[in-house]
Amino acid sequence: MDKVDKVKAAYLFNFTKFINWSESHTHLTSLTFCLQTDPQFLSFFSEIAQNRPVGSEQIVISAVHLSQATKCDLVYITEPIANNSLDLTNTVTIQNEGRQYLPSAVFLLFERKNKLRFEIDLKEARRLNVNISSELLKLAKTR
Amino acid sequence: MKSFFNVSTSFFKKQLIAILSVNFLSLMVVSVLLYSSFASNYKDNLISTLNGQSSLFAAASQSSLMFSDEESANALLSASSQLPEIRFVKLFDSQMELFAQYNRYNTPANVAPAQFEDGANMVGDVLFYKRTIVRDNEVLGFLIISAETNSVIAQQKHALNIVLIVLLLTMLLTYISNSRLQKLMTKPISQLIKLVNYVSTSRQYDKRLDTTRNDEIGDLFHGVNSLLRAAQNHQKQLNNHTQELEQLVELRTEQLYIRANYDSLTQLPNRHLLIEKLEKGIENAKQNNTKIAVMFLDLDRFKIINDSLGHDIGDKVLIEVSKHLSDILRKDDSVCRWGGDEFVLLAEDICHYDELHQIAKRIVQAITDPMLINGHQLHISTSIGIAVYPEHQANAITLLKHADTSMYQAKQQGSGQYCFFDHKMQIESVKRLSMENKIRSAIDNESFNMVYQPQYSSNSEELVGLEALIRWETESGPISPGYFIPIAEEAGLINALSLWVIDEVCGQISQWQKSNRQGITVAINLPSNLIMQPSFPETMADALEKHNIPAHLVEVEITENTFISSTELAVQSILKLKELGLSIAIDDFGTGYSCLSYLSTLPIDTLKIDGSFIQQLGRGSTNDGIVAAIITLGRSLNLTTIGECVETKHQLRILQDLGCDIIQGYYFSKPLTADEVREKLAPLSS
Repeated sequence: MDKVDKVKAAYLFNFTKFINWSESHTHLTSLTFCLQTDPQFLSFFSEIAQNRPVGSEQIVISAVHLSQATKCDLVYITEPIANNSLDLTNTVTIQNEGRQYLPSAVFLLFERKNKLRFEIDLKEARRLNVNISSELLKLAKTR
Repeated sequence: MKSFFNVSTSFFKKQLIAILSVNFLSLMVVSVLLYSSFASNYKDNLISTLNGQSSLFAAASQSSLMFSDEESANALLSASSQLPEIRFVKLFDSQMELFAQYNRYNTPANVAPAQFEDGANMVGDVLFYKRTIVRDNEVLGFLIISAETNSVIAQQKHALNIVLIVLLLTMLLTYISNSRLQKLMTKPISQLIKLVNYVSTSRQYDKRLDTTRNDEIGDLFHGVNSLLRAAQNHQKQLNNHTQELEQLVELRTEQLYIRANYDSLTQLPNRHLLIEKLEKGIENAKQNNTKIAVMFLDLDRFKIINDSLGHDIGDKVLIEVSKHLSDILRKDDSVCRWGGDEFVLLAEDICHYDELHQIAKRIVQAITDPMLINGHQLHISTSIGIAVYPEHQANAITLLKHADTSMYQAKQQGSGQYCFFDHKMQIESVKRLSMENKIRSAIDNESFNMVYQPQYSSNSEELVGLEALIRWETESGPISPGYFIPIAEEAGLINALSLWVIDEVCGQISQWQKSNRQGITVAINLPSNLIMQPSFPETMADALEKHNIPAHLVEVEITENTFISSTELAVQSILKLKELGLSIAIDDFGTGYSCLSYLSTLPIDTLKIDGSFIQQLGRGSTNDGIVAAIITLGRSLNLTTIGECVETKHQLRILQDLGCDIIQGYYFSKPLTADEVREKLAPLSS
């Protein structure tokens, strides 16, 4: 697993820390992060998320492969989606620039000057009724 | 400090210094506390600032670290430029790799998180603040902020300066205000000190303090004013007392001066003042080339008056004499009482001896005039010795001595005489002194002997009496009574000598009486001052009793001068002798100053015509007339007359013709010794 994927896995986990789910998810204790990645990536992510509850609510992040998921609070899409039965309309989506398989993505990862950066679609986030921390916004390219 | 406690330092100065010292100490403590608090606060504030800043940076840089956004991190840290104390801010990731930084200076500092503990770290003058960035219990990185403490030091200096300025200003203000206040407060004390100094230096108590105050100082001032009033009154009393004392001292001094320099009886200068005047007079005479004479006066027969009439009369005589002398004085002359009956007159500015002769004569005349004192008519005279400067001596004491010596010479010449000093007198004076001593020894050793001049009846030419005559045989030969008797009189030895004579003669009469059985009257010459002694009759009676002889065998011979000094007293004394049974003869009659009218009342038995008249008998009618008159007088007064010094038959015949009763002299017999007398008397007894 290359360094970029590791960074991406860390970014994905870190995103969960700057998203306030309070308005859409009351009494939230866990989030399901669906990953459409290879198992190595998923495993690495799971390793990161394991035993690391997020935020003051101590929300537990559980990572599952998209194909195996029944519900996704967050989803990382890296290739076209095969499982059409899964409703991702209310899911915070994360895609890579140039490989966008869903019409919208709250987070769009891209590289600049050999650094992994991201873009946030605030409109999509508002639609999903999630608040994204300004801390994150100041790092991101927003639209 | 030692000088600060010096007693001469002003109390108020000490007080001011003490207040300033206390204030200074208090202000120092406050300043130190303030300064410490300020410095401490400033440091804490800086740490607190760094804490807050690091906290802010830590919170804000979490996302940058999480998403490896150095750019945003650098932007964030660059905000430190607004805090001038911050030197640099370094953000390290969790691997302690430098992630982002801000450096105020170009030279980046090389630090690592491992070097520091979390929180403030002081390395030298530099403050490092380390904060570990944690999120969800995960260390995201490390933040190190370094701040310069120069600002702290600057602030400390600033604070110190402020504190010092405040301290100095406060001290200055304290000094000025205290000084002013002290002046205001101590003004009355200063007034009091000024007054005390005024009183202590001037010894005046006339000033007062203002007592309009109603406080304690006012009470003090009231008290001080009361003390001053009391002191002023006391001073007034003291001044009055002192003035009285000074007047008294002045009076006493004057009295003492008068007492020391003037004779209390006559008010004339005494010998002390006289010597001063004489010394001054000699100086003046030396300078002015003039003469000054010392006239030494001694009153003749004064001792008789004093002894017989008493000191009161004697004192009055002296006063009278002093008045006479004062009247005679010329302008520049002075007179003093030398002592006893001696006076000294200084005659200054003498040009010729004639002037001294004139003065001496006037004195003799004035003193010779009879004085009526307490009913007594007194006849005295004076003998004057005169010594002249520069002729006789240049020394005051010696000049006085010379005048005294010449006075004795004058006395030898008889009463009422004056005599100028001659250097031969000195030899005579020495001889007289030697003679005095010899007489004194002779009296003690009974070296005198008596001879007896027979007296014969003019008609029967029989021995009817004797006159006792004193003789003095010495190793160098006989000494004439005419020489030693006056010396004995002047030396005050005559009475003692006379008493010896009385005893000797009475004893002799007794012996003759025993061998002869028929007594013979012996005349004894006695001096007037012995006769005048109130106790003399008793002395005489004792002598008669001692030798067991009848009084009629003793005849007392006195001179006319006995009556001159005080007739009454002489009469009283002679009356007492008469009562004892003694007969009285007046010796040398005709040469003295007898008052013939008074002679009839005198209790006398015999008149002895003076030998000078007898020796001139037949040579002049006047002399013969006097002798005849004396014999007639004696006969008319029923007195026995004796002719003395009869040496020729011619003289005897004249006296027999004139009716003189008794003849005495060499014509019949020279003076006989006691044994010769006894032989002469023997035939009578047979």
